[in-house]
Amino acid sequence: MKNTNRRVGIDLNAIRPMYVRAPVGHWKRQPVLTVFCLLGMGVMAGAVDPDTPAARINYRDHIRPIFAKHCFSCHGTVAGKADLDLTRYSSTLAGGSSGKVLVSEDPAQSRLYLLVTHVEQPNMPRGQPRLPRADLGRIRRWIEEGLRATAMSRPLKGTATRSVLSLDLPAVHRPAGAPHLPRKAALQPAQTTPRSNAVIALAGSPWAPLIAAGRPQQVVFFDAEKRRAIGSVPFSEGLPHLLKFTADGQRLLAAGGSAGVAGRVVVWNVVTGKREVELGEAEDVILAADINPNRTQVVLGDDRFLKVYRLPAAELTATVDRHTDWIFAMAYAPDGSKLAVADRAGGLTVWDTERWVTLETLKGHQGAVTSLVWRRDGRVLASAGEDGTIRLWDVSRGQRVRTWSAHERGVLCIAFGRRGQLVSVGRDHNVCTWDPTGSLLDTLKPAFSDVATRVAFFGEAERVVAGDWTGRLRIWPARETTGQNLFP
Amino acid sequence: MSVREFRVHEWSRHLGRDWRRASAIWTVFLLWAVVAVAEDAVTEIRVFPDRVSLTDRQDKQRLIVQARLHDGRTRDVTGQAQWRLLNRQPARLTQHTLRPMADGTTSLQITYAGQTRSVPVEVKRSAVELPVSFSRDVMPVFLRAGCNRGTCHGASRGQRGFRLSVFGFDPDGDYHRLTREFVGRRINLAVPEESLLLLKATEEVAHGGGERFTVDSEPYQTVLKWLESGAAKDTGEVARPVAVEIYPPEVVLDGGSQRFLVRARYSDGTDRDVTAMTVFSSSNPTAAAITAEGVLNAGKRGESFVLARFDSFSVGVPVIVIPARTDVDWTGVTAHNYIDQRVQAKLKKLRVLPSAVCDDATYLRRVSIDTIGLLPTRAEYHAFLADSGPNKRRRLVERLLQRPEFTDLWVAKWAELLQIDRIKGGFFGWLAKNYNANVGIDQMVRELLTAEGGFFRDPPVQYFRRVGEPTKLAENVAQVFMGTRIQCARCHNHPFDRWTMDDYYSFAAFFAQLGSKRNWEDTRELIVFDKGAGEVRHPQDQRVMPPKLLGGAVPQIQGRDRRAILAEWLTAADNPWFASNLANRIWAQYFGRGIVDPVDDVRVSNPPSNPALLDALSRHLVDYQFDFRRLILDIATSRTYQQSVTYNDSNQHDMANFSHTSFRRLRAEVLHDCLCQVTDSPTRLGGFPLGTRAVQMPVASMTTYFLETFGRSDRETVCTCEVDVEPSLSQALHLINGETTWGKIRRGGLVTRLLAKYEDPRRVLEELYIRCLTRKPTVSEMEDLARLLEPVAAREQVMEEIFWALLNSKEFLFNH
Repeated sequence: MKNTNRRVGIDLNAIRPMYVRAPVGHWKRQPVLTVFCLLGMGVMAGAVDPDTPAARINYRDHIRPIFAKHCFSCHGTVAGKADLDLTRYSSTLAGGSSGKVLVSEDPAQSRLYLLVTHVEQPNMPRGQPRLPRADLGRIRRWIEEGLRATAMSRPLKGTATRSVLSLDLPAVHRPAGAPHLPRKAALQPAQTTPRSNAVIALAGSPWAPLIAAGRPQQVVFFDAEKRRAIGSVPFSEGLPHLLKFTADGQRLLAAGGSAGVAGRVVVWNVVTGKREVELGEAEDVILAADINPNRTQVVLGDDRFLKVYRLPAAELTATVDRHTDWIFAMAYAPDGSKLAVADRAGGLTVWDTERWVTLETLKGHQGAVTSLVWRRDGRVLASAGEDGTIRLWDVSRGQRVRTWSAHERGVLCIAFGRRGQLVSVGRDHNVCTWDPTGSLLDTLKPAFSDVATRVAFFGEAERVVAGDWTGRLRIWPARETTGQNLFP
Repeated sequence: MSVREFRVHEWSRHLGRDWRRASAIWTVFLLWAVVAVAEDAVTEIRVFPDRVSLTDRQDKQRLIVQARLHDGRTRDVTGQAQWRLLNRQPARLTQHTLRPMADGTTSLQITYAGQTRSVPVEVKRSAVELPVSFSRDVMPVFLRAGCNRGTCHGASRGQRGFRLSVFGFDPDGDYHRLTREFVGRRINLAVPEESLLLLKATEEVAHGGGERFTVDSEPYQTVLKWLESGAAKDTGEVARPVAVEIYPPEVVLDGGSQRFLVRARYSDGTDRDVTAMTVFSSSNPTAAAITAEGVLNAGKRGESFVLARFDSFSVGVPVIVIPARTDVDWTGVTAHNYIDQRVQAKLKKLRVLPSAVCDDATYLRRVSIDTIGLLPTRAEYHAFLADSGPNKRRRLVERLLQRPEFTDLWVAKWAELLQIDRIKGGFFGWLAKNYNANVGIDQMVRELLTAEGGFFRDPPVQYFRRVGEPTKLAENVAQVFMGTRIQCARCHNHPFDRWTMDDYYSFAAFFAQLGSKRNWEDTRELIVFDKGAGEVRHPQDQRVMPPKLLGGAVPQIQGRDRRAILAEWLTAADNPWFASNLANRIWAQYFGRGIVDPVDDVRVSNPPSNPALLDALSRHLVDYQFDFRRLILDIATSRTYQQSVTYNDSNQHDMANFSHTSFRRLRAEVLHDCLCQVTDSPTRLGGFPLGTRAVQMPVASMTTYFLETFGRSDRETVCTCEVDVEPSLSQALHLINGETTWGKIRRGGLVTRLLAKYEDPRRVLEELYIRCLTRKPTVSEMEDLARLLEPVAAREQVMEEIFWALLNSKEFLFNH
């Protein structure tokens, strides 16, 4: 069973509070508020909507009813399959014959949660469809908030070794000032051709409602709010194959070129439309490139060679010959200290960007790796490939922490959100969102009519933009799973 | 003293004798030549195709005009003929090509040398522009341009990451790989002419495969149009080719050139001129080289087979190139039977004169080796030479065919083809018994293919010992009983033949329901039976393949054993493969070369050198109810079989048309048996009684170094190539120094016995010559050798040396 086939008709609002809640530590840092809440909510427990932040999700009021409905028939007092009895709080915490099934504050290590979200096998409840989205959200929140027995209980302390997938991400700092948008004078009119190419270069500004897409000889900017093209910057080098905004949204990197002739990398200042970097003497198009956060280094893949250029001189400082096939994807870690590189043959390596030594060789992908992205904290690397899987790697330990089949016949592009959530597109025409542990959140609607080729988050609200083989671009408004056409 | 030297001497004598007649012929020839130069008499003109139907706006059809001359030569007179379109409204004519203008009918009048042909032209749907279809229009480009050859993108790993299915067996896969596998690279729909596919094929950018076509070519325009229309996937039913025709069907050139046309017929009833999308090749470019556009240029004298490939179809045309102005004197060349008529008809076309008929002694030796695998004895030699009755050669063959050794020879051959690899179970015995009883081969094959039961009680069941491999069984049946190799189609459509993967797996389905189990009374025995269930699936899409006869129909099964249906079809009198394959195998035994050669490689691109001959032989075999002996009698008594190895000017380069007998090394078992025979020194083989001959050995594992060196079949595959008759150094060394020759001379003690028997060493010499070479020594040979034998003391040793020399001579080792 593929995750993508599961459809849960629940509004995104139901689960959204989970992401916007304050970190767990919040309660401890504000004891006064905690006491107030404990007093206030204890009284109102039955009345408070469990899906509001104020609700104190607990076993007795919220979780036991879910278990009673879906689980007791097997994991009850009498039957107790796998010696797991979910009818009482103490026996639920005690676990079953294979040990504990719940780890406080860590859903990614709680076997119960992984089985009911179908992230791991065997899927639970056995032979039944997945639990409703709202129930899954409550179970997750119950675990994250410390497995309360009742609304009045104290949360249980989490373990010291939380799964990297359950870690709290650092607070996001929105850059000061207005989001970077191109000045009118910086742009030329966007050209259209009678027929469009597949969307192969697509990027979303991290803070502005701005989307960049590649066309022959140019990069076109779209205003996502007005849903129209606002102009373009020329890319006379040929066809852009890759577009990336820098984390502050101030610069845009493009890689591409003319097939079989030349490949180049260009970096623009988004506001002025000026070219700040032009480099690369590849003999074929460049499919993968990146610029480091402090803008001292640009890396690119020239066939199977990783080439490193120093800025601002744009001089070649290193050529790394380690990959055996064409380099398809590369990405700097958010702090610029590491670089992940992947190729068409499934090779995936992580490099030290000072000394250019291999830190990790991550094995697993069968066939080409199409996309590489880092989680905001630099702890998790996500890779996607033509084998249809998305893999999450704990880079500091060189371990794969999660693998799942995301799109039948191949995943073509993935992106990480600020809360650790993922969005992906693939050959099954779908756009899917995943929670930080790899559990399917939504299959966005409508699906494309052909292979979905690229996807990105954009804007402060992290909306999704995706494109397909026919050249169509579609955006999904915040808090909605139904998209609107951006182009054509 | 090779045979060749000896024969050349005879030939030069023959030449000198007839100077008077030769000069008379020369005079006649000159007179004829003068007339001929003035005017080659055109007997017929032919226009191809003979009717034209244009069915959409882009449709077109080129035409060619061929003239046949009085002597069978042909000329391409397309350019010289007068062309006239009666009604110019529906179509226009440019460069011998018709293109549609408006719906309607007209007629094209073509006149040459006073003869006129009229070609009806029909134009329909002239305003309809057909969308470019990937499978119908674009796929042929990759075959034509060579993109999907096995050495290029057709390789299993492709080239530089881009793979096409080899020879285009998988259009859906190719469509995916071109458009979506590497999104953004291979095609560019925004700027179609900048698609890498086109830039590479025209070498606008560096391409390892070089320039495949130019911008103004039809392949380029087809691909470009497809890209411009959005590189759409075919929707609905797209007409697929159902037949391909090549024109002209026959070419005999004495110089100049001939253009070929290829037309495909489609499942929707339309046809197209696909010449520009066809791959042409010539089997003999020295005689007839062909350009990519399908223009054949005559070269040196010879024969060639022009092969045209389009889609999964291969069609061919035989081409003969003869020197200008030749004629040969056929006086005295007679035809004994239908075989000679057909051989000679072909030779006349080639202007080749067959060799003369060989003498009695040569014939006796030749037919004995070919028929019974043994040399004639001294008594047989004398009796045959003394025979002055009518039809003595025919009577000889009739006698030989009744000999048990004849059966042994053919049983051994079949044992190779059926890969008999064990003595237990009596498979070999079953074969021998059937042969001895003169059971028709068709009946034997039916019994074999439908065999059921235990290995021990029902010997032919052993044929199915590879029961779990329906594809292997199908391959073997096709190769042995139909003479065609379908193995290629296991992984891709056969590149040089008609077989597709569908054909292959549908044919294998006949063996899909074979089951096997242990016999629990005797667990050594395996029982083979019809399970009545089990299917073969197509490896690409896991389709269940219904049993379909190779090149035939989908039969009604209805609960019957599939194998029975196959066997019935195979051995039916009208089966196009079975009888002709058997006839060809018999022919090859007597000529060392099949009419289709190799005999188990019948394919479009390897046509029979003389189709009429093969056809006549197979028809006769069917009429004789598959009685080998009767067909062999026809073959062995034909003049063609009796021709000498001595060649003349016209036939010295002929290898395939049986204008002279060729030298054939004796195959391992026969050579072994002949050695034993002439030295009176049998070898004990594999525990059988002394005197059992090598051809009687039931399995290949009973072997000797001698048999292996001389290329005995290992029976590991059904291929006739298992039997190796190519000479090698180790064979020569083994004969010269090896134990076999000397050992047999010594052990047999023949020389001692003969020297004791005859006082005159000349009598001993004569006997040795007759034993080994079936002839007496020539006068000079006798004189030279007798001189060596004068010292009485060394006589035995010298005589043994002479014997050794005879056994090492080519005249002994080869049949001729």
